[in-house]
Amino acid sequence: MATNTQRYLFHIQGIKCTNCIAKIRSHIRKNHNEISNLKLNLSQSSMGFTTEGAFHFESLQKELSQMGFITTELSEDTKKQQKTSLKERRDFLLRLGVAGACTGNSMLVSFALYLGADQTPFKGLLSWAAFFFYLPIVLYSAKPMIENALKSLFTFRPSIDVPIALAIIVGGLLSLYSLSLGSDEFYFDSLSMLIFLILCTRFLVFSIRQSHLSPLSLTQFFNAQALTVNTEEGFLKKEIHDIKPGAEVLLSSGESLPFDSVLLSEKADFDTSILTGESYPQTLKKHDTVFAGSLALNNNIKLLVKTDMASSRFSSMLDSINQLIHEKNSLVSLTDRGAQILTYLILSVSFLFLIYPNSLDLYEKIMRILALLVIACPCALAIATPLALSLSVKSLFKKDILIKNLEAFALLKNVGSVVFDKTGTLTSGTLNLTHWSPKNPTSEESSIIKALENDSKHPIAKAILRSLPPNTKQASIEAFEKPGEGVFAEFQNSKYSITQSNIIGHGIDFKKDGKTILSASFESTIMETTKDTLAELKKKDIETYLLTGDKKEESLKVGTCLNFSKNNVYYEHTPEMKLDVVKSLESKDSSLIYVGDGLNDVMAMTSASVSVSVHSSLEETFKSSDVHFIQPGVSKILDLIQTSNRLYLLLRTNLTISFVYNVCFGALALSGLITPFLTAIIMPISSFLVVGLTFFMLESK
Amino acid sequence: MNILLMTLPISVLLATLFVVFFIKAVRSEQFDDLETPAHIALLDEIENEKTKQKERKYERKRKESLR
Repeated sequence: MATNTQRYLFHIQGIKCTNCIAKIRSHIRKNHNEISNLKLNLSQSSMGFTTEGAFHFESLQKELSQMGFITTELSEDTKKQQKTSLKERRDFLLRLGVAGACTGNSMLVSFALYLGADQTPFKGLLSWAAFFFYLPIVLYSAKPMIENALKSLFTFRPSIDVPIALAIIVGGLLSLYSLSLGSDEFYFDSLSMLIFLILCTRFLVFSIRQSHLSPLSLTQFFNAQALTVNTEEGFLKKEIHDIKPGAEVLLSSGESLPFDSVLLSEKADFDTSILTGESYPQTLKKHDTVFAGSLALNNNIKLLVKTDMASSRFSSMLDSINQLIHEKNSLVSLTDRGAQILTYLILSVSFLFLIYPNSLDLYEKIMRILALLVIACPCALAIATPLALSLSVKSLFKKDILIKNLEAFALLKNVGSVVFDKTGTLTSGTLNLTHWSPKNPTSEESSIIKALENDSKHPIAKAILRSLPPNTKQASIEAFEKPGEGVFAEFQNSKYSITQSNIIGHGIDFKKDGKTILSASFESTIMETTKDTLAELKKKDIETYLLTGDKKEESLKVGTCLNFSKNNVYYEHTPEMKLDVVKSLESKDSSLIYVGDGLNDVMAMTSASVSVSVHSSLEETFKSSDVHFIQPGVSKILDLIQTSNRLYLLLRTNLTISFVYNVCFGALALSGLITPFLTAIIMPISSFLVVGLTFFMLESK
Repeated sequence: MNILLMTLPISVLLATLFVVFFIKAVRSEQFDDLETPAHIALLDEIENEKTKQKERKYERKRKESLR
């Protein structure tokens, strides 16, 4: 409870339209006088307000969830990140605004000169005005570009900013030199326009990334967690960051454990598939260690927290993963490689031209090099490439694919193999009953089975319930569940139970008075579209592999069912073994995609060319992946490959256009045929050409 | 042509003025969220209209009771 003025900011899931805003606003106006300054943000799905006096956040949370809006408080980190990203956006806008205003005015002045003002006594005044409009652009708007260019030069990895900065600075200085000599060969207007156009696309790119990859929009995938803790005041819900080692927590079915802990209850069932890849639940006994990441399957499981989140096995695994990520060579992207070649090319051509003995005097040579520098500035690379990347990110996001690492695109164009994790990726976490033996249950037996299993949240219980005919009646029995053993009940003087089978590995026995009447076995369900997707991949000559930590029998069953060739199924693999397999599979000619969901996949993911985390992945898996599928299943991998191929084609077209343009106009510039007036017209046209082509190819279906 | 001596400074002044206004607008967070205000503007109108309708009804009833 807060008593004085306090500011709240949280993520709110489900606000989509004017109606939602109206609902929330009117609800808060009617029922919460203590809330003021309510700010709802649709684009970021956030809600903020200040409160005065007593205020229960939990009760508001409950009210909102009844209205269909799920709220999540933001962590301090997220708030900070959000603040900096907003500040970044404001800075960007300011730079863009200044550049726009100066470019507009510079164009006005220059066109006055081109259209005849250079014959009047105002020539000097107008020329210097163009220079003064250029100053704020170089000193303020283009500052980040110049800084980036310098940074990349110092690390010996010239980026796309280098040729731009070169044109801006050297072109500006040479223009100033020419202006001071009273010549009309200066390019302030073209350079201003260039910077303005580049800033425009960069702002667009920034906005797309911000709205699809901002920390706020990511919280919707991972809700902040609170657990029940035994305190002096009784059992209270506490946020996981506030729970310390030594605390006693009470886990309910469906909650996952963020710390390594010791089991205090006699027995309990856990789903550890995210850690080990095993599809069947594990039964643990008192004093057993329960590792972070395990998912509880029973209610009221008592645990003693042993480590905090930072020192769990979970995070120690993460540390080694982070190291692997550092070792992974960051790729020089296509754009930067193009920029490098272009920079060296321009510089060497300029130098050769300067020392080449001909009839031109030094001044004329310098002026022609200036024209070359300005005209050869890589518009297609600097403007169209980031735009194309961002538009692809946006269009894939609409198809429920989240691109987290843009470099993934470059590697996706040549996919040779795809490695799939099994549990959670190809198969869903739920189990399916395969058959009853020796016969199907009678209707009376079914009703007893339904009564026994109805309240259990165990995956096997759910599978049994699903297998029963839909019109099965429920016998009126009170059943009780013993964690790790089964369910028991008494009905018409007989004792009934459903317990784990001793004969079949993962089956159950339905017993009456201790005698087995029926047995059943289970298998994990394969997600719907998986088979088609795999067939489609095969058609494209992409090799598919199954790599899992699960048992041999289960893995081979799934492998045959999905038509994996026998040599391509790897089972009972630890995370380290998975990493080795991926390393051995990777080849130089083609890239490898790894699709997984659990912590046991993360190590292998760091080694794969492109890593994909699927729906319901662990947060850590999500963080270390390049691509994330928002919907369950792996069918999206086809969309991903298709879009990447299209994007690659577009990038190559743009590069070709840019190359042809540079060669043609560069040659014209050196032969002295390009005037500043011509430059001011050609440059925007070439920029709009590539931008138009990009929109046309990516937005048209 | 001497008019340029006057129009040039004026245009520069105007341009500077607009840039200053723009900077102020950005600093006061007006461009942080471009989506929601559009919806909220609609909303206030609906709410205002509702209150206006209520007022009109109330006024009518009051007049009727006076008769």
